[in-house]
Amino acid sequence: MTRARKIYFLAIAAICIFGVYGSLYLQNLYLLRVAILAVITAILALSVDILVGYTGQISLGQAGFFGIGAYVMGILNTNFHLPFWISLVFAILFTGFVGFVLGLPTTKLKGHFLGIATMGFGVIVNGVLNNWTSVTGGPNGIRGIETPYFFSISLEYGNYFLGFALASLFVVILLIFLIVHSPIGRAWRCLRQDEITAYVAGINVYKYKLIAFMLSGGIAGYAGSLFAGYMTFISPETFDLNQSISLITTVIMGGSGTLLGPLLGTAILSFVNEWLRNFSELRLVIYGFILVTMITLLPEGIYPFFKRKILFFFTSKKKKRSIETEGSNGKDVVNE
Amino acid sequence: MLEIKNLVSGYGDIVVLHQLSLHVNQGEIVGILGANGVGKTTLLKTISGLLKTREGTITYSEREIQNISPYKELGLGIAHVPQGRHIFSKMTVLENLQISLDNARKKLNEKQRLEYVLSLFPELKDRLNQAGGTLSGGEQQMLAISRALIADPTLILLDEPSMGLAPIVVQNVFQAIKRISDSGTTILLVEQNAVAALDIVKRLYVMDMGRIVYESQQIDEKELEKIKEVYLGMDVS
Repeated sequence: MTRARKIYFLAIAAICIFGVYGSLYLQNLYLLRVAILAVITAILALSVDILVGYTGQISLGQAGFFGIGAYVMGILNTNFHLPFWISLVFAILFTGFVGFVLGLPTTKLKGHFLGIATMGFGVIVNGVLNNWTSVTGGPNGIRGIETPYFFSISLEYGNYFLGFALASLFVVILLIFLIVHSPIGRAWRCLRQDEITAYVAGINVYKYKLIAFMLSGGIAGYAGSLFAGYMTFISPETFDLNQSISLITTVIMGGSGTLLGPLLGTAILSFVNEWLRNFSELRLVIYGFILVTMITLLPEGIYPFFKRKILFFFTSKKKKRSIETEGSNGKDVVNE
Repeated sequence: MLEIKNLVSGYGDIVVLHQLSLHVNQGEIVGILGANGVGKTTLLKTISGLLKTREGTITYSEREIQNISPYKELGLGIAHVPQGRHIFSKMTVLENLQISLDNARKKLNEKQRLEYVLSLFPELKDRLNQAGGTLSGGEQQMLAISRALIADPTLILLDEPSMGLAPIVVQNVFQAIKRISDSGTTILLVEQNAVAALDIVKRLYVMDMGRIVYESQQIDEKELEKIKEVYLGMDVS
């Protein structure tokens, strides 16, 4: 691990620990609620980033994984009276499995086709949640999900839940960090850049795409369980196509293929969204305007843009040439 | 070493290769010449598994490989250098090479392999930590060949290494290919640039419309003239 990477990682750890600590002192209930939902969204955004950023695939069905995670938690917890933590494990494993099954046919698809296929997945999941009334409760959803206890501390108090959510976020960041810097991550970077070269360089492209789908599904399922545990009530409309699209927007705006990008994107979009409530009907117009402006001005994403500017300021001339060529996902060099 | 019998392959509804047969012996450097669109690239893609074989067999070291996944071929000792300088443009030269080493068929002495490859392409030596995409066209081609070569393959499939390169660079690349061949690696070279290819190949096939239309056993002056005139439309007089 290089020195820069160590510092970078320590900084994230410090922010998270500070965040967990600070979360215990946040008094404003409204802010607390926004913060918790933002952290859950951040976990989701990271799960999208595995596919969209690191592996170069596209997922327009992430809300499907999110929903499955939430509903597995809801059903196991209310119908089978399993405790939160055990349901959580099941939810993660099950969504990971769903990711695997979805990946089997879709890893052979690319670009728009993959987008449509994953979108179809999201729509199917939403349809099932809406119509399989005997199990999912249909449009009425599931209520009365248990808020978890952490040993003897009830996480029902928002502060504790925020701490728990932040800790989860940190674990997810750590997990993704480790995987991205392992041979799996290297294979992902390869197949993102050029699939044909990946093949001829001996990389099992299908296998690594499947791993990405599984991991992405599992993490989104975790976020879903967290959401169910926090809200104690879930219904299908949370897990629709809009959710999937807004997640992908978040990731691309923040900077795909990075760890901090999706976090930054979530933080900005979540709070901008709340702040825009002041403008009532004009809200969506302004929101759309902000998105268009950002994407036009910073197509590579917010985080890579600032990272490039800051790094450029500090690096020697010799290194500058190599930095220029990385981290611009919006403008991939097409080899084909 | 490589034996192809009655190979049929293509894209979608279109059949590109019609019952094509050829063979490559150990240590040879065999050229496949032909104009644009006769199926040369398709042939290499089919051998390396990027395209599915529809009929026929591909035998490599007494093993049928027509149904093998493309990523497994490097492990068998077949390295494919696809057309158009396919490299990982955002990774450094060294990383590009490392990936190939990771997936080679056996544990290699990595340092020794790297030194060997760099001795063939000294241009890459100063650029090891530079992103692949910042290299010039010729250097990218050298990197693509190096990436294949570093895994110590027994057979290299080269797809138009001269494409888009300046004549002087083409000469460099072909000299390196000759040296690779001299060190014992078998090479199947697909080329449009007949003049450059004819300088180094030992044996030659000419392709047209997805078929082998000419096979030379030994290339001598007379035969060379005939090939140039009849099949490649070159004026030799």
